[in-house]
Amino acid sequence: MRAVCWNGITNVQIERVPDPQIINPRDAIVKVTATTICGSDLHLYDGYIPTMQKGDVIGHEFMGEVVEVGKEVKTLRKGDRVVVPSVIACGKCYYCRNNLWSLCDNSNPNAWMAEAMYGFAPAGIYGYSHLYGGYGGSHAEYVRVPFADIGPVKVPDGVSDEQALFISDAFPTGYTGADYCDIKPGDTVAVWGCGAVGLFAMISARMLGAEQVIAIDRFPERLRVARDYCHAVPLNYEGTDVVEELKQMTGGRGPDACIDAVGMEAHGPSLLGLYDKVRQTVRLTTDRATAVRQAIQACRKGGVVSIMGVYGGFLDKFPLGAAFTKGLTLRMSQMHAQRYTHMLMERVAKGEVDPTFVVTHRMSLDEAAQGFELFKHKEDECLRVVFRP
Amino acid sequence: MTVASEQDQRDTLQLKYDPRSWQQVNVGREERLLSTIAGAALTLCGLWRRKTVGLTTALGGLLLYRGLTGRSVLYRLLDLNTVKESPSTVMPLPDGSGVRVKRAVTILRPADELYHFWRDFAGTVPVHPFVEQITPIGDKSWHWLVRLPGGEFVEWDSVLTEDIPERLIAWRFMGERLESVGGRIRFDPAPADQGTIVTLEVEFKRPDKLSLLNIIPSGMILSRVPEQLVREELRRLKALMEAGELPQAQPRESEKEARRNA
Repeated sequence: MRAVCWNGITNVQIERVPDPQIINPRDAIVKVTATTICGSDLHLYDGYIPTMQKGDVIGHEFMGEVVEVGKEVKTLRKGDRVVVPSVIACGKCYYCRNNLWSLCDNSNPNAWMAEAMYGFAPAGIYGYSHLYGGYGGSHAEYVRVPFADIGPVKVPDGVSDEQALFISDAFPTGYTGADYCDIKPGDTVAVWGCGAVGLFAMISARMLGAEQVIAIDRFPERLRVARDYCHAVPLNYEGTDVVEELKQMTGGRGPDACIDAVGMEAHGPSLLGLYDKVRQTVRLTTDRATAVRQAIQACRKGGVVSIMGVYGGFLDKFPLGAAFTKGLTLRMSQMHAQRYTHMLMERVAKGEVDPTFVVTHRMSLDEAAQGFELFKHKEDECLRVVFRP
Repeated sequence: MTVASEQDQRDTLQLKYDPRSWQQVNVGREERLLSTIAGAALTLCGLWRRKTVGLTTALGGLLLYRGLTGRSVLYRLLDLNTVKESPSTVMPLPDGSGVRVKRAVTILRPADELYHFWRDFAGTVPVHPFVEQITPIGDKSWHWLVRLPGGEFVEWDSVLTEDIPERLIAWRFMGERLESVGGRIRFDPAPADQGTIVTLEVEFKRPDKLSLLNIIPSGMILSRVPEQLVREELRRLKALMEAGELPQAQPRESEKEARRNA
């Protein structure tokens, strides 16, 4: 089959690789009908996630059609249209049973690697380095889906591929971020980053009852999407003091909750931002922290900072003093997709929300290299690229 | 039920060492590696430059001794010890013939189910890396076919030495070129509804053949490999009992072969 392979930093190519096969009884093979470049794919693309190997097939946010099932999979049949959560979870361990799906104990064959780095291992993720299991990715014609009896959600007729696609990752990630905020009536939620995850976090915050949502970014077209589709108040961080602005927008109180939907490759106009960039370039630090620093600084006393942007290693100049002094609650994780997928699919099917507003570019797999460049540099007002293999 | 049993306490007590013993390894892993490299370099350097041969080679020799044996005279006199081996997971056997590795994992399944799975032995093949086949011979013995990392096959017999239903199983190995002398597995209830705490204890023999592996003694490589092995066995047991299968990103080599031949 044809697949997008990672061949080094900012080097992805379409190549011929062997078709995936059923290995375990709970596997399924899915023919990919839509797959999208996630912001976290850029961390792989830019070489910030360790344990990538030349030739690894990348991609993890996808949907498709079931073409083969293992003998233990009773819930799916050949021909079913499904959207598949990007985090792989067994559904049987302590963490899955407690709704903490991305912490699954049994889905990462390279758990020893992650244990050495993090103490304990997270769940496996499709096409997201060997640390996360070394599974084949979704920017391909076919994907092997382990624990297919638990993860995949059937797409009802009347819901299009692109409408269902983001229930694989960006939508539940945004929802997890908003859910962590413990939103109460009257709350203001500020969201750093108007990529798909940030935008879905804004929509989710509204669903959960936030009175005001503030969108922070520097790209006018993204801020426009946040205003038009997510009912958010836009705030361009360039040329302004974000913390002070947020204070004034909330009557001097500060946002009740702040969501970081940016992660380890944040851009910052300040000196500290430049300092991060230099240290990251020479690999003295792995993660750039502008967004999360601002979120901690801006959050009201006793508020929640919810981190959904991906961090991989060590953070420099982390303002723990501010977080401690203000009594903040910090919550973070990879999203627990399986907790929300069915509920989100229902809402999409009912027409409460149409996630396709984030799609700006549609391409074939052969154009993957251009797709990544376009998405990384946000050229041509690119918000999300969808490949139709 | 996380309180250590009487047996465990004895195990830990055995480890209480006399810091003044000449036999005591008192240099940590990284330090030993550095000592060995520096010692070898100095020795070579001394032999090369005839002028200072005595002093340099002597110092090199001392460092080499320190690195290879892990025993530092200076540390002994100063009562220092930089060994950081976690004593509860890897411990040297009292007679110095190898190491015992002991690790625990919590599995969300009832003890009786885990006990019966293990008591059958033949069904535990997927849990053990390198083991190809286990066949019962009589009620209390099994025949093991093991494929060593080099691809070579060895055969061992195991015999049941202790069997407390739903609680404990112990076994001994017999045969040639044994890597493992025996082991035991214990099942204790975990707090709340978290299943069962499984503690696996395996004794490993130091290889008979003189090789690089046993020149560098137990503190270093010899204890690392067995510890990884036990870690992996417990991880596989957990996945198999909870999820019903072992997570895998790629087909195993044997499966690829089977497909090619099909």
